Amino acid sequence: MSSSSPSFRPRGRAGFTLIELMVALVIMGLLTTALWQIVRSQSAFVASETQREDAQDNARAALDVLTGDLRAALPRGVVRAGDAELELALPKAWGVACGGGSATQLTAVFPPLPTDALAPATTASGLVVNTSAGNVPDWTPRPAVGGGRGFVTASAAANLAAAPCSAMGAQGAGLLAYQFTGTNFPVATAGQVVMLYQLVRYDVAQSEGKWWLRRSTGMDNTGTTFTMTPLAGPIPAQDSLRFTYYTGAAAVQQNPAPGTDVAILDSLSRIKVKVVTQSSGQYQGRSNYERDSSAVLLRNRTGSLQCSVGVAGAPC
Amino acid sequence: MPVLDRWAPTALDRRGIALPVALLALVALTLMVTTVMLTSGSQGAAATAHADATQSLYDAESGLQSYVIAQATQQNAFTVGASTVTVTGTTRQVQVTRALLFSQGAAPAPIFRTWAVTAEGIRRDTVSGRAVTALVRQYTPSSNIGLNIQSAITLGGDLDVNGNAFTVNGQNSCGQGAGYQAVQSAYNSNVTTNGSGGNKFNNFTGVSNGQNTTGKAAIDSTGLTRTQLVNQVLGNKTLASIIALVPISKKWCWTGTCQFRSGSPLANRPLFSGTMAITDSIAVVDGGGGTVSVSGGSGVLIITNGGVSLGGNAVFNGVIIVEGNFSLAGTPTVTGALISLAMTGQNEINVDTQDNSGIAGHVTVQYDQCKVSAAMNAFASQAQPPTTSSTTFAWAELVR
Repeated sequence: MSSSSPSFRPRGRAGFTLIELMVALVIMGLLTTALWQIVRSQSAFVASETQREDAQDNARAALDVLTGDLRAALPRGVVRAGDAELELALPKAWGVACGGGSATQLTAVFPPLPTDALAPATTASGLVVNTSAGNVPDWTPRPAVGGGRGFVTASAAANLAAAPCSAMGAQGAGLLAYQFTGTNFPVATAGQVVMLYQLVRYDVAQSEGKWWLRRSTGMDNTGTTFTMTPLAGPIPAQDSLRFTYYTGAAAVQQNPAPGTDVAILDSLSRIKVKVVTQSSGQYQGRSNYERDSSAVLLRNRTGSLQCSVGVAGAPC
Repeated sequence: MPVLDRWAPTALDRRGIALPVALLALVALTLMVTTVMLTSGSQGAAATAHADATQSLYDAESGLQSYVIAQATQQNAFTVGASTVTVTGTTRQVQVTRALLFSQGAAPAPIFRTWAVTAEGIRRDTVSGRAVTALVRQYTPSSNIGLNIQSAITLGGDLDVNGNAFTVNGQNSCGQGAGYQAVQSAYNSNVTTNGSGGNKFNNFTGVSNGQNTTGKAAIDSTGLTRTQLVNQVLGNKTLASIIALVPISKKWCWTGTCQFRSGSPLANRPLFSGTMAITDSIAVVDGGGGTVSVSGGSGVLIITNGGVSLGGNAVFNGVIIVEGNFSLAGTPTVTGALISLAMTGQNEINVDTQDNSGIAGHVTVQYDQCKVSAAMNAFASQAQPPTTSSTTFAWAELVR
């Protein structure tokens, strides 16, 4: 006969007692609470970092586009220079005139560039020509907004191998010839440098209760009103975009901003831009802010085209 | 017989809290690690992409500038096509592509060119990233020497004639036109004779206004200053700009002190033997402040920073231009033209009585338009005018 009984279990093999269960629950609770706190703080950190990245990306994107545009700015191309607004002629393509043009028509050869750079889609498009025959360039007409600048209203592909471009001796992969139609074109002779540009405006404006940094995408048919599109934002306030202007080789700061003072605009040598952006979302009722700035030397502000090496005074 | 205990616990029956806790901890840990990895991974990728784009842009910019500067300092013209440039101080490479937008003129005339230079970074053996383009203008001067010779001897300084056996003939000996006067001098040049016996100008002949001239009448004492006379005969160029057209392989030294030994890009040039090589139609000799002895040659011989002496039976066909003094002795013959600038230093008039042309013995200087033309044509064919480049302008950034 067996000494064991089905209804009897040794103590060591019994189920949990209430005390054991409670102790285990308490320990589990403590551990869970601790883990939850860690997860929660991690989550808060991630949310905060995400917002900071958001604000950073905003500032970075704005500065990338802005500084790229400034580096490419045309000589005499800054049209309006305010504390929180800037209008400039932005090159779409640099080329060389084939000659034989008129005040309403000009044909030029361009280096390999994205073809959309040559499409004068809006009346923001214009052109200037270095009409100087000497070493000191004379870019005309000035791309100021209004009736004086060279509007481009249409363009068409031209034959590089036919007159007037055939005499240029142009060679190289991807070269294009275009014939532009418009008004106020200077009479360009063969070999003179032509810049096809688009007027661009930067400013800040409020929309849906938030401030935004905006960049123009063109103009209306009157050629005086820009079509503005948000570039980056939101930004905390109207003064979150600030331009500072410097003139000459010594970089003398201009305070107040030059506005439309032609004499000062012509001598601009560098522009500093400061942007403060904020995150698009909030965490625990707070936004993140990011401040970034960059100073750009206006390298296309070529004072002279004089040859840098070789025979002194040689014409270029 | 023992009865099996159906209820005996096995290892699987040993329940505890450790496993659930461990699993829970594992889940939490996994969540945390995943979060951190996602955050840091996306951040890192974004930062890397931005750094790559920025580096690509600056690589392209520096590659473009490096190429233009290298070509400019070597005074080389661009060529249509593409080449690879290594960014200074790195192993990163940039493809630089040149397109000729405008070209005017052809050698030996001056050449003007406008180039579009596009640079784009090479990453993982592929041209990609942000590109920049800029325009550069290049100018190559004419390889023509463009002399405007109007006499057998062009005299910037003084002329001393010793003895009677000195034949100077401005009449053209090759039948192309009548020719010029025997001597053309600056208004303040002195022509003097030394010694006794005979008319030392008897053997001077020339042409003036279609009429043959002899004796002192064959000397054209112009109203030009020395500077004006030099400008006239050199075609409004400086001697230095003419010398700049001559390739280094045609430049020589006369002494150890020589501008053509002063290092890059000028090689350590050897000493001039006194005779122009048969293959050379151009020679520039730095006299080192002394007098270069010439025993023969043909073409255009330029003596800078010194004088020249022709002696013995030296025969020279062409044009000799000397910055300092002439000394002719013995029985040398020059067929073509002699030009004595009587200058010290580039384009600087030195009213120095030491800058004389002292002539003794039997000397013949015969103007010959054919020899002069041949010398100038040979100069144009062997000259290598340096190409100069403008600074880059018309910069634009391209996003591919």
